[in-house]
Amino acid sequence: MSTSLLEVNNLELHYGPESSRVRAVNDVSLSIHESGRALGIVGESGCGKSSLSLALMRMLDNAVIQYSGSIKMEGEELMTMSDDEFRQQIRWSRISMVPQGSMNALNPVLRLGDQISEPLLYKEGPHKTTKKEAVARTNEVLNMVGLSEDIASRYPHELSGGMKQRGLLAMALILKPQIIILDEPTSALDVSVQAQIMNLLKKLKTDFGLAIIFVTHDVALASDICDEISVAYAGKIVETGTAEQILRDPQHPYTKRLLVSVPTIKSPIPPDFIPGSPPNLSDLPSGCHFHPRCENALPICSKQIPPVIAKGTKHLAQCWLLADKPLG
Amino acid sequence: MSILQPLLVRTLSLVVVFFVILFLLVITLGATGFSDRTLRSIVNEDLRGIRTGLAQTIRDPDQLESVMRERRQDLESFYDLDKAWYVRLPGSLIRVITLDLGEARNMRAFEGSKKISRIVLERLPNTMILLTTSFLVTTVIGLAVGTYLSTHPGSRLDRIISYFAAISFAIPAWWLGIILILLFAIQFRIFPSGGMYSSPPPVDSLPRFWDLVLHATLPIITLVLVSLGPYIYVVRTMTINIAQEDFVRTARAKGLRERHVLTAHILRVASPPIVTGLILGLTGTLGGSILIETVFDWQGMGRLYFETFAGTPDEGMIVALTFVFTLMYIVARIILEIMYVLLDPRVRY
Amino acid sequence: MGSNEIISHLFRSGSGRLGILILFVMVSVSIFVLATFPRNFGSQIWSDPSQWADYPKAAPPQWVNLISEESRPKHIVLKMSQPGSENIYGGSRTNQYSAEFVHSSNEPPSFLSISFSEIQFHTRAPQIRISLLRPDNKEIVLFRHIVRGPRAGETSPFSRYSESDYRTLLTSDKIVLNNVETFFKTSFKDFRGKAFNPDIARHAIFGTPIFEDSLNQTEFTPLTGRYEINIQVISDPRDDIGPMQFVYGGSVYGFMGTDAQGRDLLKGLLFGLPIALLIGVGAALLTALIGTTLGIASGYIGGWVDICIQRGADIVANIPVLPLLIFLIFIIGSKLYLIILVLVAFSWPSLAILIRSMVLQTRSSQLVEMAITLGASPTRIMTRYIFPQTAPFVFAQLVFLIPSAILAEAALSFLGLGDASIPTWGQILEQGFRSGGIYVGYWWWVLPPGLLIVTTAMTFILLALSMEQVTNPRLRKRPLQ
Ligand SMILES: Nc1ncnc2c1ncn2[C@@H]1O[C@H](COP(=O)(O)OP(=O)(O)O)[C@@H](O)[C@H]1O
Ligand SMILES: [Mg+2]
Repeated sequence: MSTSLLEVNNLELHYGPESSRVRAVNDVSLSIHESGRALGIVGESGCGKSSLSLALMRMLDNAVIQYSGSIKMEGEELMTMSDDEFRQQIRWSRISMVPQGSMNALNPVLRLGDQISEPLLYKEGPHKTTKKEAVARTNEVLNMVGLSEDIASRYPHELSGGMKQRGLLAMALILKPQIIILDEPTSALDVSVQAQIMNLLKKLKTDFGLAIIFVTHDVALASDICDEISVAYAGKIVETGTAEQILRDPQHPYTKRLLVSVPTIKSPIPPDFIPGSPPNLSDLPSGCHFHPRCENALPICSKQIPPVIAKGTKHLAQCWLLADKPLG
Repeated sequence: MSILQPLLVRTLSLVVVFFVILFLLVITLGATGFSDRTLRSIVNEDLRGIRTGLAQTIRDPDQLESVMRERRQDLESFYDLDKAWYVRLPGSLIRVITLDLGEARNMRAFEGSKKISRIVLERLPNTMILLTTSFLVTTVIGLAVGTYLSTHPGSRLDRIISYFAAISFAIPAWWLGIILILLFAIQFRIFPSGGMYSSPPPVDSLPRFWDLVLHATLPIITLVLVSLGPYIYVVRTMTINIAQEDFVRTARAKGLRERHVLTAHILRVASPPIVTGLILGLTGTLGGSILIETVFDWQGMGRLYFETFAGTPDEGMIVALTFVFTLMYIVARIILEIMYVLLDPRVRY
Repeated sequence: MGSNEIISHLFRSGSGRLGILILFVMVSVSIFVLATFPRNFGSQIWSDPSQWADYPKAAPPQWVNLISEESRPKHIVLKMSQPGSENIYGGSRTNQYSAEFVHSSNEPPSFLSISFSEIQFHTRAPQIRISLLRPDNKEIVLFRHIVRGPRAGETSPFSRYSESDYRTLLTSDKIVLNNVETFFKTSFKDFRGKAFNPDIARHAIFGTPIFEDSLNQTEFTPLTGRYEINIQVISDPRDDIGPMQFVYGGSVYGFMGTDAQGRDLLKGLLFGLPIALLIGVGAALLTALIGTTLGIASGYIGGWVDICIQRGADIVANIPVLPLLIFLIFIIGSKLYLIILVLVAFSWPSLAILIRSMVLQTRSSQLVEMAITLGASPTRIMTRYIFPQTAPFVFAQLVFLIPSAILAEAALSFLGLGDASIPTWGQILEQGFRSGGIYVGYWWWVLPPGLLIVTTAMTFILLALSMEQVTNPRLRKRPLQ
């Protein structure tokens, strides 16, 4: 068995206080096989997608009370690294990210170029370069994301939304990471800019062999770029498969509802919203967390956590309805 | 240049404020009859002196009266009393604006000159010693403690400082100065109770400097104590608020050292309001120096301002000093605006 | 947000409760002061030196005796209106007044004084003799006084000391000093004292001389015990003798001590409380009124009204306050109402600017737009719809303005620009400082007024801070993202 680029198993990230523990990332496993592939994480807002992204970068808030599981990169276990090792060797240099909320993700009083080149100049480790090299590299990444070099001297408030997003992308590319996590990269942008960014991402993926973790609430968007998609619900991954499998042959009732909730022009079926509201992560329903909103819920659904069931190569779903012989 | 325009706008508006203040100053002096009254009393005083002098030589009372009348007219036209205040005062104001501060009537510089500009220039450095030292001390301690507290919100020290800050608002600096005198000068005799040098002052420069340091300690402690609490609190709160912003998360994601995140990102963004707080504090202290220098008998501008009012009112002195104070204040504000525009690119529209 | 919510919030927070408690005490004391002190306390009593002649000068409070080892003499006032014995013999009457007091301190009293009042005689001027009986049973005749006889053209009965009392400071009167010296020469054979200066006299009257050759000046050991002051008045039986007062001047006085003029600081400090509240609340109310009105007008009317008000606010907000405050008060005069008005003139801008921005927000709210559509007049909209929205905020600001006004007035008073007809804490401090009181350690003169200023200001700051949590939305707990 060849080692995957990234392999995450049983990852947990809980926020405190203990009395109302928020299980934002709850027993999550996922993997990216090799570079140049994109994994989509899709789910309603509040289901813990951003927390998952931050967990992968070990960006822990003060409120985090549990952080456990296994993250392996090319076979190497990252969870056992010390914070400083992780920060120097992994964060930004091997896994980087474009955080959610791109409108405020840039420091308002620093020039874009300085923010992009910052890790080259101030981060300890093998990346350290001279100022001149840093400028050259900055211009390089700016070109990669389709920005002209003079943008480097602008302040964030002088940039449009799309330019900011490209700038953040350039920033994430500066240390030539293997994996880049994009947390809702296009949510705040209007549709035409969104399309440009998506094309840019595809180009980066194919031309530079970048592995992408694409976090979004929009299945359609995810399917546009991702090879594989994991559907998240209430801190858990409820279904994983290739984009094709998820779109054409969704297995989990939540995935199904998610797909019909997306308005599509060609589809004859009017968009349908998922009834009920997403669960409170600090007070999760027993058994399958989706059962209160599930139309086909069985009695067992509220009692036991469903098993993960394989529905083809690489296609997994966690649902009692898929079990051959539902118990009781 | 994009940076010049906001600077110009802000500076110009402060200059306008400056002139409006001077204009109001003149109106107040004139419309209340204060100007006329003081000048008239000066003329009368001069005349009394002249009369005793003349009475020796001129025996005839009628002749004396007519000579006196003449003298009165001379004096009145000398002091421009024969003109209305709205004619007379703008003239003196224009002289003041062109930094021709005129001469003092009663006060003298230590070196004997009567020129107000000399008196002011003599006192200005003394005030600056107090203001700049306490400013620097406040800045350094405030930044250090404030950023430390921002990483320990809710700690015991944090709560103590928040009470300290609230109490600082309620404690008049001059009263605190009195308390410090009572404690450290009268009770424990560690520091001198007032003045700038012992009398006689030490001759050699090193002991002389040390003497000055001893005398400056209590006033500086006072100034620092009253401004420190609120300042620490501003730094702390600004830092905490900014640390929660999205861009700080981005900076952390870059794997930069926490120290670098704090200084290059959090404090850098917090710096415009922090600097604002500092300079506003400084301008407050500028006014407060009138009280502090009075309490500690410190021969600075504030003390001079107070003496001007406490003695026989000297209109030229009052106008000149109010002008200098306003000028210093406006200059501080202009520096503030420049710093702000330099520090925060968002205001460069 | 209603006012109920603010009030309930005030009671919920610890600092709010503390603030309310102190405020309640302060208001009660103020009511007491207003009810018991004369209106013109400042000009008629406080600033009138004759009112304070019989008080010890610069005396610390009595309770310092509790904390210091040495017990200093307390102030004793003995009033005598009825004679203890009356003897009529041969057409003349001898009235004997006497009163006892205990001298228990090693330190002599700071002074002794006697005053007579309202004497009316018919023929001969009454003669008065004052003597002091000491614990060693020796009697010192301190003073003899013959009331001034008839003037030319004056008719019987002759009235003396009815407008103002006749008062003698026994411890510095030349005649008394001579009498004391005579007493010691006759009663103590070996006495070879030098000339009596007032300071020795006090020790002598309340002490026994030490006879030692090594001492080249007479020293006295304190003589503690029961003393009796005797006053003998010889007069015509028909004559009226008014009440007399003997004062044994303490070195400590009352609860708060006295200042260099002998003024009872407790009285001045008490009177300062309602004044401080008046200044604070008065200036704050006026500022709030003007600031809110201008702010609402500026935000709601807009146009040139807005421009004028905002430029004005800019100018006032940018001036160096204290120098110009001093300048103005000096020029226009330091009357209390003028001081309040000038404070208001300097403090309205921040409120006007803030209220304006709030009004701009509420102006576009649905409620206000509906009212406009329904044809409500601008005045009605401003008072009925916009003002209530800003009211809680204005209230919190008002509470914040109170301490600033109190502190500003104190600063002015400290510079000698206070209203001399009304004693304030700042003025008491100023006198304590100006008279050099702090350099000789008169802490009781400068600490209490300052502490009162701080406490009063702090009370309102506590209230404002505990209200700010409600009225300042930024301070409310941030919801998690
Ligand atoms: N720093 C934090 N402290 C406590 N709870 C948090 C924190 N960040 C997120 N949460 C909670 O975790 C849950 C998941 O949030 P998030 O990961 O942002 O979801 P998503 O990105 O899918 O919208 C939410 O209920 C949110 O309230
Ligand atoms: Mg998110």
